Amino acid sequence: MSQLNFHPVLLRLPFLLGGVGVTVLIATLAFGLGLFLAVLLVVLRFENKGFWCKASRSFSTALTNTPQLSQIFAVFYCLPLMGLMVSPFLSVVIGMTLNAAAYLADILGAGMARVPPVYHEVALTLGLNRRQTYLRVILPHVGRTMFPALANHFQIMILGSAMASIFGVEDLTGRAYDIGSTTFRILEVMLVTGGLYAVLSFALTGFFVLCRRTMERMV
Amino acid sequence: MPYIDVRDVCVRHGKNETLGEAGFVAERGEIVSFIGPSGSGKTTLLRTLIGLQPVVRGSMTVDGRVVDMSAAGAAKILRDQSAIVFQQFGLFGHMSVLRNLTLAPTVVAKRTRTEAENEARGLLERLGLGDKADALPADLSGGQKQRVAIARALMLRPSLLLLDEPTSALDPRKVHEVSVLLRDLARDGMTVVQVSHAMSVVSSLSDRIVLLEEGRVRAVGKGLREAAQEPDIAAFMNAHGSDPGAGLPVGQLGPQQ
Repeated sequence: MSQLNFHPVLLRLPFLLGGVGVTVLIATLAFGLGLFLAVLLVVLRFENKGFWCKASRSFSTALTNTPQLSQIFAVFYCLPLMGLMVSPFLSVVIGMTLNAAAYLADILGAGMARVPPVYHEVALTLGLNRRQTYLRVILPHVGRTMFPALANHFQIMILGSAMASIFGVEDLTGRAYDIGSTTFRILEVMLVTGGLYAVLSFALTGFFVLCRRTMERMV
Repeated sequence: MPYIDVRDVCVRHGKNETLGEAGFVAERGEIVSFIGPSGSGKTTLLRTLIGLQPVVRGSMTVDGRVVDMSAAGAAKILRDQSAIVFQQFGLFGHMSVLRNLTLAPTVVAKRTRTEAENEARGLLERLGLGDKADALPADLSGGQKQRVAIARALMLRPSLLLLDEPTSALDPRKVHEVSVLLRDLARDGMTVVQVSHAMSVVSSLSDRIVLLEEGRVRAVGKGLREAAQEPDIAAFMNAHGSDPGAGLPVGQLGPQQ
């Protein structure tokens, strides 16, 4: 242990910390876009019986049963084949968005199944149309009941976004590799990086607890 | 010509006729109770009145305006003139009591939020819930939820208020409170139709009792005295825990008596 030398790593700490921003940006973009897609997917599931319901379920089945890394690789290599040149950053965001959409649709689906059936009939008799029913009643209710599961998935995405480094994105892990390859202090840099991920994760936990309390007070 | 005239309502589930030629009439400000054994079609008939249950045929006249209940677009017209309070109340748990009341007026009827909130606060005050406007439904007792659900229905300014088992979730004291409230509403000109299993409520509250059996109207009694003389109604009510002829407070028998 006496051979551990953190000095070269600490010298490059500002550069490493810059990676935290990229990590949060990737996860936030992918989560936000994924949540939007998930809402569409889950509404298709509940409003359709036929093709669109099956298509939405198949999408989730396919993407929750294959590695996220393979999915990002598919995006990374397939989009250029289709003539779309996208940056590694964008490839990762697209791949993670699709993966998040699949998981989040399942989470929202579980929440939708727990909406009291009478809500739909009440909304109908109050004169709300389908769009108003979803936007004003069903989705806010699901958002609240499934908030812990959604927050948990965001945290998984923060940690999972480390695979962006494989595609050359300079996120937290990407920058750690950079520092490791120039200082040869791989163990030290990875220990510091692991610590930063932990701090980030704990901070998010605190943030979500605050969000939840605010939401409970907000009526 | 009666204020409300429902005729020949017929509902089918597959080949089974769950409701056949059902109907009733009511004057403005009357409380009508549907009674009958389980599966007799009481709730089904109530649901047809607000377009939640598709009908094969049937017509409903409210204040001289005839609606063909089986026509396309009938549901919307029915919902414009009626409001329903469900057995489970169905208050939206993520909204305050006030927002539960103002949601439809602001989102559907496009009234301003201030105006809707003022009306809602007034209504809550009247129902003894003035201090509960900002509470969440989860913080209310069963009786309070019931009154909030009634207030939400009243915000729609319906001609007809429908209630599915309004007292089933309440203890006897709360049952009395809700009964008094319904009587007050009726006195102010609201026509109320309820489905009830609680014969004590039916006998103390109803201006008209409609007995359904196997999807058909078996007997109708106007006022408790007349209802008590209908052998079928008397027999049903006796068998279900209330003697319609036994001395109930006459003052509660409704506007005609």
